[in-house]
Amino acid sequence: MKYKTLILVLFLYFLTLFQGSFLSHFDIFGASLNLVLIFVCLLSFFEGSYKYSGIVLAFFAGFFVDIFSKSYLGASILLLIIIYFLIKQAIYILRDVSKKYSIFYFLPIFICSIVFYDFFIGLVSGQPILFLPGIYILSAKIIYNLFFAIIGFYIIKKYPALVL
Amino acid sequence: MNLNIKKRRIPKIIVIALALILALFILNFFRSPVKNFFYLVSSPVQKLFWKMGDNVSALFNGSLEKEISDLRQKNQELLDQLSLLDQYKKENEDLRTALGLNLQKDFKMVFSQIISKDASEDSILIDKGAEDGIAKDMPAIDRQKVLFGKVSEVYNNFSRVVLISDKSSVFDAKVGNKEIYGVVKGEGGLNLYFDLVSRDADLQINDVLTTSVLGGKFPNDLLVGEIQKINKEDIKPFQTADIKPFFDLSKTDDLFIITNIKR
Repeated sequence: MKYKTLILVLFLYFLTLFQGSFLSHFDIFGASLNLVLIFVCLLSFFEGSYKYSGIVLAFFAGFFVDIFSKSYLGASILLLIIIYFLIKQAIYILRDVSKKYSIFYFLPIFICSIVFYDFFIGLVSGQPILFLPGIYILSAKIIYNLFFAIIGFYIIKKYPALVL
Repeated sequence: MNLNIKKRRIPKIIVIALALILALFILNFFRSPVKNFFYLVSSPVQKLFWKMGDNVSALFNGSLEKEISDLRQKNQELLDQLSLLDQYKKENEDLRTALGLNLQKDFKMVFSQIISKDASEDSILIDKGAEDGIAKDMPAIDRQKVLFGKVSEVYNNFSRVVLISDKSSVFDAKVGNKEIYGVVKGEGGLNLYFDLVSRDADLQINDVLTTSVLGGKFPNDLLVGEIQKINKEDIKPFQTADIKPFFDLSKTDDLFIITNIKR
């Protein structure tokens, strides 16, 4: 288990590098892909509301994002851990009632997560996002990230052992 | 029973949360060396990924896009020359009237490579830092004198450049050949707009914006972008315009940092 966590931490490190150096060439309408956030959301969603072992991964995900961004160390760590716990609460209410891992539960949760993350990371950097151009970019970001989040959702649903 | 377990867990969670916040707070005192260490270790992989991204995006965009890019580059060179000629014309006039000398010296520059871009904000990481003579607020341009941004954080071997499209970016600019002055503001997502332009100013689509020395942030006549859409409303005292920036991260690997900034 610890061995697997170590591999996933390394995976997150390379995912952050890939996101910053490779995927930044593929911004659409100024919106960039946040694979690390997608990973944390999927991890928390599929882990269920009673397990918390993924918190270590959420911590390292935030740590690597903070290292490779201009924000203070801790901003993304705290945000990703909060998102991790909020998703747990959401699936406690949604999924555990029906005992299903439905995409229709995951999509609104993911959209809320990306809005939450973008709003607060902007706030931490002193950049309020709630004005019109920001909303356009945020919408593009949601659609762009949603596409890859759905692909990730079905991959993990089919091969849960990859991350759980 | 469950309630008791939860009650017992609460102090433990609070202690862990406080310890985490304290650890992060302390870690920020060593932010610069910690980040520099990670950049040093990761830069070979980042450079590889950046190069791969460059090649793959060129592949996606095709040869037509390459031709457009070449023409754009040529266009920017011509615009640069035009801007320079305007400047010479004005200097010449000034000299005739004031008989003073104000010759512009060439910039001293440090060559650097882009190695990554921040996913959430408009900033990039370059592979030169304090050891190479980079300091905060130095402008970053490409070989066509297109302005990218300014250095916001300096580490030993790396620096972070905040792009002019970042929401925190504000600087004075002008339409070179018309003497129209205003302020260029970043709006995030690699977008810019021209603000605080007098309502009477004859702003036109495709007008080229260059930096103005007025605000003291950048040297004169660095290329910024061209006017894409003009927004003029009767109730507002100023007109604004959307700008199409000249900088293009997907086609740029190298940047020059101006180290002898002459504002």
